[in-house]
Amino acid sequence: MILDILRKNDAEVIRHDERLIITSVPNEKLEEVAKELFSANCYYATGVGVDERGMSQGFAIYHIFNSENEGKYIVIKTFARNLTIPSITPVIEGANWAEREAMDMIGIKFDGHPEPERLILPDDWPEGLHPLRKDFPYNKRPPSIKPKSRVKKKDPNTIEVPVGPYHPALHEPESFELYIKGEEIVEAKYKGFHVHRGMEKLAESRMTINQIPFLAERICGICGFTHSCAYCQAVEDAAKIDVPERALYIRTLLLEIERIHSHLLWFGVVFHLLGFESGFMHTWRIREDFMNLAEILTGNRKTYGMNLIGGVRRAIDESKKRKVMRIVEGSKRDTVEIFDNVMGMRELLNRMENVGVLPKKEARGIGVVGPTARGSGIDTDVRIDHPYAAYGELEFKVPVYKTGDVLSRVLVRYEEVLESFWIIEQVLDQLPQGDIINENYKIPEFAIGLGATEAPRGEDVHFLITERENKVYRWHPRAPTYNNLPALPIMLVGEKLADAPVIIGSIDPCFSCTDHVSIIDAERGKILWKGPLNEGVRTWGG
Amino acid sequence: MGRLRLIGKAISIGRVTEKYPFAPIEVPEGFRGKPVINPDECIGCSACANACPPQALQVYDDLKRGIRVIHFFLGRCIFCARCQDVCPTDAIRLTKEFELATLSEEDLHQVVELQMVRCKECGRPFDTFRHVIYLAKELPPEQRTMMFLCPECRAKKASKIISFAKGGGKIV
Amino acid sequence: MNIIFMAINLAFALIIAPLIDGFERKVRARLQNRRGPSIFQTWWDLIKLFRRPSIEPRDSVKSFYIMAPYLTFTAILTACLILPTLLPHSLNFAGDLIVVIYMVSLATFGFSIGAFSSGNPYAQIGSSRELSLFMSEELVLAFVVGVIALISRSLSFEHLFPLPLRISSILALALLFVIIYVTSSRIPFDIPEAEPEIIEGPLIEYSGRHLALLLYFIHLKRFLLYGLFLNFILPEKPGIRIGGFLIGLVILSLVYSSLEAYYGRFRIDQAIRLMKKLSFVAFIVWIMAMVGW
Repeated sequence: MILDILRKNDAEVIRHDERLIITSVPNEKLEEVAKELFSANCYYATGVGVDERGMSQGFAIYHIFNSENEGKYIVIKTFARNLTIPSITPVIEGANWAEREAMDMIGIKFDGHPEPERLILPDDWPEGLHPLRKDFPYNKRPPSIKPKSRVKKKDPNTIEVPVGPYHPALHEPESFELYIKGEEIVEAKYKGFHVHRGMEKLAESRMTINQIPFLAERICGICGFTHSCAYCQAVEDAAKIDVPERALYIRTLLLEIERIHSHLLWFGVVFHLLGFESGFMHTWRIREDFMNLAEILTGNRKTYGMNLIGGVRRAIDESKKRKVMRIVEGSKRDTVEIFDNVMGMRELLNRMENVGVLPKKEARGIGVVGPTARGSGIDTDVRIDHPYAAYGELEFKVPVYKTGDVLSRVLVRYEEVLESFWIIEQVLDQLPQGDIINENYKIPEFAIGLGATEAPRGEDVHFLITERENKVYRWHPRAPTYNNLPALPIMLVGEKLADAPVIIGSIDPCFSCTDHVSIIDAERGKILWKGPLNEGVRTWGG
Repeated sequence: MGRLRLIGKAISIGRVTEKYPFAPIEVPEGFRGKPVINPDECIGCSACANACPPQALQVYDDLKRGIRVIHFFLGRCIFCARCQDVCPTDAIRLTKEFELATLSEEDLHQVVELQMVRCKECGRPFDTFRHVIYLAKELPPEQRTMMFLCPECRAKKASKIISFAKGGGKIV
Repeated sequence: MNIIFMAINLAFALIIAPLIDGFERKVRARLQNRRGPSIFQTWWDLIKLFRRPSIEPRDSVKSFYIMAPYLTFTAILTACLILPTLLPHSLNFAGDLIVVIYMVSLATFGFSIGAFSSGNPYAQIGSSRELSLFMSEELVLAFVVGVIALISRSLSFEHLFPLPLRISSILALALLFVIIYVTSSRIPFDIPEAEPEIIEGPLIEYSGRHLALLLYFIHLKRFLLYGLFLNFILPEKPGIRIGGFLIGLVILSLVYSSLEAYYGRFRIDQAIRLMKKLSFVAFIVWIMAMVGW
């Protein structure tokens, strides 16, 4: 089906196996292909702009589609002609941000893009400088320019309420502009990308392939392990590395521990947003057990640091296994008890029912992922659609709710927590013996790899092109919140201001993960380190 | 009624918060805390510096003094324990220590200085004594003659030997 | 003599009000598996804030903005003089019940005016919420006062306390219990402040001394309302009254803070709907009092 569409449009299939199709599509056929793929139920995962001059081929964009039905990712590569590529945003709304990102970072123009404005680069960044181009040094700091002043239209009937960049409901610097009439929100705008960490550039210019898992882990402070997992999978996919089965099971175990801790954290946040502090305390009390568990298994509460290319670093012995069993057993009962009682609290349900509705059709168009999608009746889960780690051999359900309101997203996450307990039990039961790492591999040059995991917030995609000498040529992680955020204005409009925090919270936004992709330090003149650290760049032996 | 049951649960569980920092807190075996280099064991091979993702470990040679400096800066450390993994002599270990706040930046640095060997031919310091000896254990005896030559001189000498060998084996 | 006792009353109110808040924080912490701060913490907070300078925002209407905390605080202090609390002595005059209610309302209005004049959209939303909640609970309060006046045939505290035991008086006290909870802006009725939604609403721009005055006002208001409720049920004998008052304070703050810990916040429209239902109940109670139950 998908191959038919591609063949019909003169696509050249570069790689085709059971997980991935990589094709090259001519410039003029791109829109047609995108349209047909979208109507064939493939949703838009992400787009990656690449400066391929190092591979002597100019600039290109890789559009990545996810076909749940066929269980494949489809990578569509198109070269820029005179730095221009036709935009697919008019056909697929979800491509909007990805194309604008490539526009900012690589400098590709998109023909026919409805709003070709800056997305990631700060307002004072000079025109014509594109940080992810290969001829842009990673430590360059261009002088800032005077930002263009934006004219704001003022409607006397509405009040503008800024939510962010600093707001107690948002735990990270992000900003929403809400326009309200009385208590009702009439318009919502999102302004993001305040947190610039330059991770992609750093990885591409200064780090080696086995150092990046630790950088990837630091993309997110909550679901870091899933990022390092996705990165390692991408490399393993590109270099065709076999990972020992025991390592896959250990990865699965930690991924599920991370999911439980992330969801419990989120419940706490939602209860806090609804003013129910005791619920917050209860869920975080349970979560604490999982933090301790992670500490026992990996040596740290949050940054597990377990992943390397080809496997994991620490095995799980019998005594640790028993500890996990005991904690899971107790927490399961606790979680069910707390949650059942909380769900009997009418005033909380009233605040969540029919609030922040995201209809299925809009959700598909934007390409929302994870619990946000499953709350809107979309049955999508990377663990089922594209089995990775040990998920193919385990048995679990994926909860889907149709109503699309905040409550359905809460229930999806609650059932997921219960499924995660069940998965952990299975993993411990079936944990195979053997090696935990395969270090016998060679990284090919310019091989494309794609790793996808189901992060607690949804599908997490890492795209990677390798290079000589154990380096990466291009690494693009796409965090789930990147796809979920554009759905927020749809959920917010027409709701009460009082519900805005819980609606924003309901997609479990993780802003820093979304923003990590950019490179620039927006705060001008910020000194990252000083003193003896200036020696930091000194290389050894010199 | 769920509300009352939750209150009952809270009361029956009691306080769960720790008295930390007024009471010490236990960390489990295998905790990844502050890395410490044992200067007696370190051979200056710079495997750790190569593996360190944030480049908190820097190794550089002070050619004037003939000393190799292993400079560990805790401020950049991410506690990944890669250095511990790759260290051939277990000289760098992660401790259980995690209370790292300090008033003086000095506390964040650990510097290990190792004496280097000077090349017998050109007199340039090229490697630490310990590393050379460590490597010598693995070398076949006939190659040990070139142990104290820097890589360049070694290459020159090796090519000479080979060319002599080709030329009829006069010297050998 | 009376004036000395009134001074004692006032001093007791000023000292004990932040301590009650400290106690409630401790109770809530206990119900949330925490340790909680020392019960003097509220006092330390206030002392700290009183030492700090206040800042007036650029967009505010300065005169109103600065006047509001003083107006609010003075109004609540006046109410403290009129209502008997620890000792049954007060400024006695006909209709002092009405004056107390007026003083509390005046304080609330002062609070809202200050917020409105701060120029901050959050504060404005907060104070408009404050006012609409206030309006909706006022109706219930009016009926409750009506019931009390009918039962004791008077509007001055002298003749009100304690309330005779009747069905309508018990129901009226139950309603008063709820109204006090609502008025003292506790979860689920802390909608005007709602930290995660509108960042403490009316208080957002206030700082230093002015913020301290407003926080002190909130604690005093809660204390005063406790006092009002206790007055209706305590016997007149001086010895028993003082003991009963202290025990009553502890019990009330225990109950109120436990309720507060295990509720989620209402939305303003939900709260108003609830208040409407309550005012209907209050109306029925009033009719019961009319027919002499």
